[in-house]
Order: sequence, then C-alpha cells, then structure tokens
Amino acid sequence: MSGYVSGLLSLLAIQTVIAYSVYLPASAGLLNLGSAGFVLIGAYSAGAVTSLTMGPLWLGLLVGALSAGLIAFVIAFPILRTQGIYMVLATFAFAEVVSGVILNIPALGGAAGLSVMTYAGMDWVWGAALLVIAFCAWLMSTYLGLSLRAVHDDPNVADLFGVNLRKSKVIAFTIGGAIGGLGGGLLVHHFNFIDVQSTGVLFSIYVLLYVLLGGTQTVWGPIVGAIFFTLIPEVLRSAADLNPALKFLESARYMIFGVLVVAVMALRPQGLMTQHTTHALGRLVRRFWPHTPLATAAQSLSPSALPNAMTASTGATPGAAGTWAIEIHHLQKAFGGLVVIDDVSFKVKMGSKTALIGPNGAGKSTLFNLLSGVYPIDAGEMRLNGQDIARLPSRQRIELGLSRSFQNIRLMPHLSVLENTLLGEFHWRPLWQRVKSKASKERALLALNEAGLGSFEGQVVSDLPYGTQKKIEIVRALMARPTVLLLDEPAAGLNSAESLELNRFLDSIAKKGITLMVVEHDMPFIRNLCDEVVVLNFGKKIFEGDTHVALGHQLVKDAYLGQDSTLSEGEH
Amino acid sequence: MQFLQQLINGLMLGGILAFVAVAFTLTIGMLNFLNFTIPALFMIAAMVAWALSSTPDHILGLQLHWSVAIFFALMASVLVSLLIERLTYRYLRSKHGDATEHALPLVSSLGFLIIFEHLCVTLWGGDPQRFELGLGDANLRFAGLIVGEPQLLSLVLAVALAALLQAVLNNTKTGRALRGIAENPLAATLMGIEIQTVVPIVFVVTGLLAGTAGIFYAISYGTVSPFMGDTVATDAIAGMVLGGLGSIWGAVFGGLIVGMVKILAISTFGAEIEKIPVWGLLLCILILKPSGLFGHTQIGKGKF
Repeated sequence: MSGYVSGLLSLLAIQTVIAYSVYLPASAGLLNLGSAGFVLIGAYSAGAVTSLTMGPLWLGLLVGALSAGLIAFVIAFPILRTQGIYMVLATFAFAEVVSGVILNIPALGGAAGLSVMTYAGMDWVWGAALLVIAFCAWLMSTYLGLSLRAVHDDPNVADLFGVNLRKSKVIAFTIGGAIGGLGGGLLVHHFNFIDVQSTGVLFSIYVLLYVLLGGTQTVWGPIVGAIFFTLIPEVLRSAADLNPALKFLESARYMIFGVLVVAVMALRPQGLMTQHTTHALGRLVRRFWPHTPLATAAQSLSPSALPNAMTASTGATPGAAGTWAIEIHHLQKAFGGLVVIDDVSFKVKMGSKTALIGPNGAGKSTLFNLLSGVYPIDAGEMRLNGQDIARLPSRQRIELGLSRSFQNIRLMPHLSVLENTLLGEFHWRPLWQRVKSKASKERALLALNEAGLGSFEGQVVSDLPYGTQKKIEIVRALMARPTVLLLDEPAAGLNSAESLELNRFLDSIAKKGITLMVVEHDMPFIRNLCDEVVVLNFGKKIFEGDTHVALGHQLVKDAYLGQDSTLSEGEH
Repeated sequence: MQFLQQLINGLMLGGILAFVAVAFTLTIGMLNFLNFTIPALFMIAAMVAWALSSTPDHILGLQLHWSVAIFFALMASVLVSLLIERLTYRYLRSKHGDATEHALPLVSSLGFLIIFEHLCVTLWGGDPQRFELGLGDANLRFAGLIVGEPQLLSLVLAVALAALLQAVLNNTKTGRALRGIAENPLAATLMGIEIQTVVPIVFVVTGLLAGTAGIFYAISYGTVSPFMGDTVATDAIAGMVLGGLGSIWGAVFGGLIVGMVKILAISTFGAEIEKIPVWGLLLCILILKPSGLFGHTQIGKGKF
C-alpha cells in the first residue's frame, strides 16, 4: 500500500471516529457544533500523557477519552437545558472556550501547538475506528438507542412511554464526548502534532456536515458520510495531479464539497443512509444468505393457541369486585382563565369497558392528558388501581400500568413498525438490553399478528395508511403491559368494516382483564363495545353509568343535540 | 487615556459587529433561520470592492473609482443573498414544507458558505490582499485620541439603520407582513401575505447589511481575504445572542458589547485571551438566560 493511500485511510478512520462522536447526540436530535472542543480536550490530554509523562499510547488514548467524557458529562447538564438553535450555539461557544483555555496554558504549547513523539499508525487508528463503530452499532440496538431515536421523533410521547429524557440525552452526549476525545487522541498521535488553529470552527462544521449528510437515522450514516466526504475531495485532488487539464479541481474541490452539501439537503434531507436504504441492503443480503423470518413461524400458530403476548403480568386481577381501576375526585384544571375540567369525579371499574363521551371541547382529551401526566392538575385526586398518581412524573405512570393512544397519531415516524411496537416495552426493559432480541421480537410479532399487522413488521410507519397506524398505536400501548388502557378516538376516520374489526380486537383485549377507557364520537361503536359511560359537558360531569341508560338520557341528548338545557335541567 | 482609546477602538469594532449581528437577528427572528451565509456576504462585498478597484492582473481588476466599486460590490452581495434565498430557504421550504425542520436551511447555508469562500479562493487566491481607497489618512484626532472615520461612520450608520428597520417593522404594511410571517408563516399565508414576495426583502436587507459591514471592515483594517468573514460572523453571533435572538436593538447593543469586551480583553491580557471572555460570556447567557437581554423566548427552539 502506498504511503498516500495508507495516509488517506488513516485520515478516514480518524474522521469516522469523530463523526460518531457527533452522531450519538444527533440521533436524539441534539446538534453538536462543538465537536472540536472534545477533540481538543482528548488530543491535548492524550498528548500530555505520552509526551510530558512518557506514558504508553493506550494510556494516553484512554485518558483522552475519559477526560473528554468527564467534561462532556459535566457540561451536558447546563447545555442540555437549552433547545434547538440555542443548543447549537451553546456547543459552539463551548468549543471556543476550550480552545481559548488551551491557548492560555503555556505547558501545552499555546498557539504554537503541541508536538508528540509517540506515533499511532494504521493499526491503532483502524483498530479504534472499528471498535467505535461496533460499540455504536451495539449501543443503537439497545433500548437506550431506541429511546434516543424516539426522543428525536417525539420527546413527549417518549416520556409517556417511560423514557427519562434527560438521562438518555446526557448518556448520549457524554459517550459522544468520550468518543470525540478518543478521536482527538488518535489525531494528535497520528500526525504527531495538534494546534488550536486547525481544530476550530470549520473543523466542527465539517464534522457535523459529514454526519448530517451521511444521515442520522441509522448507525451506518456517519461512516458513509465520512467515506463519501473524505474520499471525494482526495479523488478530485489526485485527478488534478494526474491530469493537467483538470488542474482547476485542485482549488475547486471544496466548492464541489459545498455543492454536494446543498444538493444532499435539497434532494435527500434525511441524509444518504436512511431506514429505506438499510432495508434495501438487508433484502439484498438475505437474497444470498436466506434465513427463516420469525414472522412466518408466528403466523403458523392459530390465534387461539397464542400465549397472551400482551396481557399484563402485574397489577389487576380481572373482574375483582369492589376495586377501581381509575378513581378521580374533584379534579380541577384551568388553562389561564379557561376552566376545562371543573370538579369532575368518577370511578372506573377494573376490567370494565368505559366510554368517555361529550361534545367537542367538553374536556375529554384534557382528562386523558391529566391522567397520563401530560399536564399537571390544579386540584383534586387521581388514583390508578388504588395508587395515588396525581403528583407522579408522567414517565412513571406507565410503570403502574397506565398506557394510552392519541387522538392524532403519534407514532415515531422514522422508526419501523416493529421498533414502534417495542417502544411500548421500554419501561420494563433494562436500558442496555438489545431491542431486537429473539424473545422480544417474537413477542412483538405475536402482538402485531393478533392485531392483524404482522406483515407490516419491517416497514417505516410514515409509509403506512391511517387505519393501520391507528392500530399500531394501540399495539404499542398494549406492549407496555398496561392494566388500564386509555384510547383517544380509536375509531375516528375508520370505515364501518374497519371499526367493526377494531371493536372485535378491543373486545379480545378486554377479555384479558385490561380496563379500557375510550374517548369516542362514534355512538354505535360505543354501544357495541362499552358497558359504562361517563359524559362530560363544558368540563363538568353530567352523567355516569350504564351505556344504554346514558344514550337515552335527556341531559346527554341535550349536550349533543343542543336542546334548551335550562328546561331539561328542570325536568331532571 | 490608554483605556479610553481602547474603549473607543472596541466601540468602533462593535459598530461593524452590530451591522452583522442585525443581519443575523433579522433572518432568525423573521424566518427562524440561522443564516450561515452571512460571513460569505460580508466577504463577497469586500472582495468584489477590492477586485473592481484593483489592477488588471487580478480577475475583475477594472480599476474602477471607489464609489462605483462599492456600489457594484453591494449589488453582488445582495444578488448572492437573493440566490441563497431562492436555493436554500424558499426551495427547501416549498419542497419539505416543515418550518420546524430548520436544520435544513441551516446546513444548506453552511454548504453555500463553503462554496462562496472557495469560489473567491479560486478567483483571487487565499492570501489576504491590501485594500486601499486612496482617501489618505482617514483618522480623526482630538485630545490625543484616534477615531477612525469609516468606523465612526459604520457605528452611526448601524444605529441609524437599526432605528429605521425597527420603524419599518412597526409602522409599515410590509413590516406588519414580516412580523406576521415571523409569528406564524402558515397563518400569514392564509391571511393573504405572499411569502414569496415578502421574504426576499429580508434577504435584500441581509445582503446590504452584511455587505456594508464587510466594506467598512475592509476600509478600517485595510485588508481583505476569502475567510475574513468567519471571525467577524462568530463574534456577531455572540453579540446577537447577548442581545437576544430576534431583537434588532438587542443585536446593536450586543454587537457593541462584544466589540468592547474583545478589545479590552486583548489590550489587558494579550491577544491569546480573546476567546475566553466573549465565548464564556455567551455560554453563560445561553444557559442562564437564553432569551438574552431583549429577545423573545419562542425563537429558535424548534426541533432538529
């Protein structure tokens, strides 16, 4: 191998390591425009170990990674308080402060830079790069990785499914910082030199561009980005060297890089590697290396023989008399001056199928949001299976058995159907467990098959029709092993055949002992499914009891049909 | 006296930073778009003004009179700004629609920054060039203090333009349309505001502000280079954040403060210290009071 090629490959390995340091937080939607900061910390501390204390290379790299990781951990807490563009600027400012500090430490050489004697060759840089790639691939396949991608797509829903947002983000940011430090250690020992000037704002910008252009949806994005954008300028340069007619490429290669950036953003904003690309590659691999998909094994079982894949393993015993799944006392909620829930009290029997109805604006969805913890309550009590949940953080309510779907579909658009389903399991799985282990994959497939969705397993949800997405939401909620399931307008937008099918599916869920509470406007649907009804109007409860009584009740008719309510109140 | 002179120098640098900071704050406040091509606009105006007034051995070396050169330089900056509007903001918006995905225009604008900086490297080389207008000594001297005329002019102009912009935004129909777009682009469109015709105004103003600042900078410091915009722009971003994203007076004020902090820190502790006070201050503000001194809290928090 010529020196030129090996130099290029080594550079590629180092770029890849640094790209992964930016990728980890970026997968959770945290853009780090300060990778140079962590690289500098890693490079200078690693360089200090090998040149000032004459330590071995491995110790230098280790110290570099650990010190960058430690500083990343410390600054993660204040920096992650900022959002959006503010976070981009905060990481940017952090990197500038780091380079400013290093400039003012004379022992590190100041503006003249730091030279080291120890050399890290191809074996070291590629060894480290492969290690980092393998580590990131593993990390992104765990529940932590799933939580990061969920946080990227919809932090509020991730929180409701038990993801501790800050914890996931801090872990990603810290590990990212440590990897950046490792990259810095490799950089300084491969080139035997580092200075603040060459590792500045532009450095951070280029690394971020590699990662975004490679794509943050899959773990392969950063390496593709690094390969693409390390090799292209070099190929252009060697073309210019070989052929005098192409001399202009020498100076134009950065322009070509810029044009590629703009083109990728315009034509393929998700980056070069997406879920679709990896699936296509996966199919290609399977064509030459076939294996039995899990789905067919699961499908061959008859539905009656299915184990209760989705049934609660904790909590309620179905039909136990005298126990309440939900108890609400004098619940109060106002948005500013607008009272949306006004002194509402009701109880829902364990194992019952209760409808929550009322005209638009009655406060039904707000009530669900209060129960699941999207909003804090103003006053009153809420109990779930006898336990007080009113002051509990939303992510802990799912652990007590409360799961829900949403009025507007809130699946994670960039995750596959299987991954969306498995997000339901997040709260009772260890953070470091692999998501697609055989056991959990089979469980998810069984659940999807029970809902008639088995064939959609690998697809990205945003590609699927509306009704299918609504069902996936219910399956996801069921994967959380709930004892109480809140469904917000599950039948909205479904045609009559689909709604009948949904009815049967929900019946089968209820038979397993899960308490259902359903907000719905489709009255025939409610009459078929629910045995109890709670009716809200203008934030107040106006009826609670048997479905058939409710639908014949004058007050309920008035609320829906707009009779003169003062008259009917007199009658009542 | 020494301190007073440094304070004046800081204020003069601050005047240029204020210009650029207003350009940044305008695009981010109106369009929720951190426009990284502003350093390119800054540089293009200065480079074109230099090239047009330079000797024929350079590309575009037409030896034009300085006033004509500056006129065409500002035109170039405005044209490039409009080109960027067409290719980043408008194109990405109409294609991908989602206003919350503002990482797209941001990243795209980084691409354009690279393109234009290296275009200038290709045309005129990467080395700094001397820039002289032949106006002679442009410094005012009184009581032993030196005040650069171009810098003084840029300071006065920055304040005047900020006042003008604020008045236009508050009192004219176009200003109201712009504020409507800033608040809710979709609703603004439904109310009959034509985003396609109103948004380019922001980019014309951005081009003019950044271009003027670039020319003042080149006159004041006597040099131009393809990468001259980078440091100025990062300092201006710091000033914008200090003043609060989206606030015009905040940007002016923040730009002046950053200029003074920078010059005072350099004159007190030496050139190597300059990054720590400016960026340390910025980091603290981002963490403790992200809305800055005069900003709105809702700007720039969309997800990526």
